[in-house]
Amino acid sequence: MPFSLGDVVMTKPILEARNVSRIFAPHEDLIGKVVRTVMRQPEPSHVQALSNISLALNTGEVLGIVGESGCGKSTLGRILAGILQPSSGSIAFQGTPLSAMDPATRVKTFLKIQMIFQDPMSSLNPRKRVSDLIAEAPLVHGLLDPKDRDDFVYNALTRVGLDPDTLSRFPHQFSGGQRQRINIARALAVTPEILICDESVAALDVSIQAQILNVFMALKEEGRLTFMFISHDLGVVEHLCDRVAILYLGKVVELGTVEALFQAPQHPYTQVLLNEIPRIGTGKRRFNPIRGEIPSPLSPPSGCPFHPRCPHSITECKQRMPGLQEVGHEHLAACHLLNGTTSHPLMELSK
Amino acid sequence: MTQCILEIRDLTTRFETKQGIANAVDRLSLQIYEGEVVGLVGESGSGKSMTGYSIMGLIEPPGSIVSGSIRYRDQDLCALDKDQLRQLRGDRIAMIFQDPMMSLNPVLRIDTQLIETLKAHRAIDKQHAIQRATKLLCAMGIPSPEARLRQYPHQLSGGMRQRIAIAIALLLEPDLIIADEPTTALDVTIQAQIIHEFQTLIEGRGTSVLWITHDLAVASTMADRLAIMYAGQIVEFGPAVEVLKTPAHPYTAGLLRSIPSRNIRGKPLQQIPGSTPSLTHLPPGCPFAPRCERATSVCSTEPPLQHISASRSAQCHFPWGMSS
Repeated sequence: MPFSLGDVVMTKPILEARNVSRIFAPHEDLIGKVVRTVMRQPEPSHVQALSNISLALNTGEVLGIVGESGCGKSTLGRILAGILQPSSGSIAFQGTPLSAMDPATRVKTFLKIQMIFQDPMSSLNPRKRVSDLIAEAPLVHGLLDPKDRDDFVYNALTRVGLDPDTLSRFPHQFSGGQRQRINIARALAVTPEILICDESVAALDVSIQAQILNVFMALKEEGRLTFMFISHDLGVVEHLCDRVAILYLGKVVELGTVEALFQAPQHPYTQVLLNEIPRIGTGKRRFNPIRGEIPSPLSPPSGCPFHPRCPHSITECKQRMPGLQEVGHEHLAACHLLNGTTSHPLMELSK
Repeated sequence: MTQCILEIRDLTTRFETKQGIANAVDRLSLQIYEGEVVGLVGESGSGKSMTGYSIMGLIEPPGSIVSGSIRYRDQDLCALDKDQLRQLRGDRIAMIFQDPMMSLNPVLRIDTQLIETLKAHRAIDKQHAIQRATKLLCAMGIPSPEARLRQYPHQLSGGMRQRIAIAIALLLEPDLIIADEPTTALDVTIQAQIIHEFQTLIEGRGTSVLWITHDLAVASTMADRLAIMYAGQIVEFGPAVEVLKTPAHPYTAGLLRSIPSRNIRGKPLQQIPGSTPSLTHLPPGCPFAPRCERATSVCSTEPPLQHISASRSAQCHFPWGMSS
């Protein structure tokens, strides 16, 4: 039985991933399949990008998704945004599974979930003017009267801090930070309820990143939006998010409020991550890194995916994947060392 | 007093483009002493990589070094011919790039590339060359180095490739390494490993490093001294701890305030308004003035290089910490 967040948190989930898995398999046509069968070749290897993830996004919160490359954080974002289909499991919007909706309702639902990507240039059509980029979706979906188009774009640009007189320019005439503002304005144009931001500030310079983070913070203050903020940058996540989920090789290894997770990380991987981010103010220092690389999702290790690199691994870790369990108030972690007790050697380490 | 290994004086590297003349590096002066790590920090387009390329003699048309000097010990690098520079490069001064795929040859095996580097500068037989390479790969934290040596770059992960690129740079035990964003493309845990191994190796050998990065946090954990670049100029220079604790230049202060930190969680960040100016259309005087909170009319004139203390300087009309 997978855990349910419903009884832990008070607020209602707006978007839920229920036991979501996603497998990427190489495309095989009929001829390829026949050749493989005749030649008795092994089946092509699959990548298990996500395995059995259950995660709820609560109304009005900012949920951070953190992990290193290949952990499945972007796949999760794309599945929740409806860009990718889960291989198994389901997505529920306000309690209703998307699969149970009729096509028209599903389209309406996906409009409420918008995504902002990492590279602000490649996510904007270079041949379209800003006004077209922003007004296209609301016009297509009948949310906007063509008469009001200019006023609409004017307001949309003002909202994200762009000079509204730039509405007839092309994306290449803007700087990176301004382009990301256009992306935000475009996502907001269809009045979404959920914004999924996939590394949306990662490609920006520090001073520009601060500007965009402030735009997100202001939107958060307005209180009408729910965010899922996918990032590898723990500093940014700590600043912006209410809750964080740490992903490792397609699995949630720890989930909790920012306060709990950053002050008392429970999973060894989270502890390692927090230990190894460079911070200003520590002065010149030596790192004490863990060994090993992130395993290939093509051949994930048995049991707990982190065990080959874990400084505390025990035999059980090789055999069985630990499930998520409560380790504190609104705080879950998946580690055998945390079994049944909240006072264990890892707690001391995190101090 | 330790010896000065590299001294850059009034270096200007200019690019003549259709849009106009851009000084990617603008009258830059910098000294690197024996065994120290200097962090060169700036945002994109600030000229930090171009500074590294200028030292290595890698500036190609339409760019050129138009004035200034780069002295390595007692040699003027700008005055050397191609062959002399090639002798020095890779041997005494080495460079590590952000993307290891750019510096590794995709069609040559790792061992070929390592041996090639050794043989280009030393009379060494293959046996010894391989021994030396294996030892270094081991020190860079590469498991089963003998097997890795027989592989091609595409068979390795990004972290492994960067370790190989660093190993090649360290192979001839250079005096100076120019590291251009070597860990930017890597994951946090891999970055920590590589920095750890790199630090161990350079400290053992007393190698000097110019660590070029956009990431102030990485620079602060690596560098003894920090140089902050903006629009081709070093706007602030000094011991890393002091620069980060009490920044003198408004740009440094602005950068530090832009970084999310624990103390201001959930509060709006104090952003630097505007964006970095185009190098072809710089404002007169201080290039940072249009974005600066402290700017007055004086700032449209060239800011002086002011010495905050014996070891610290800032290119600004109104730096903090001046005892006037």
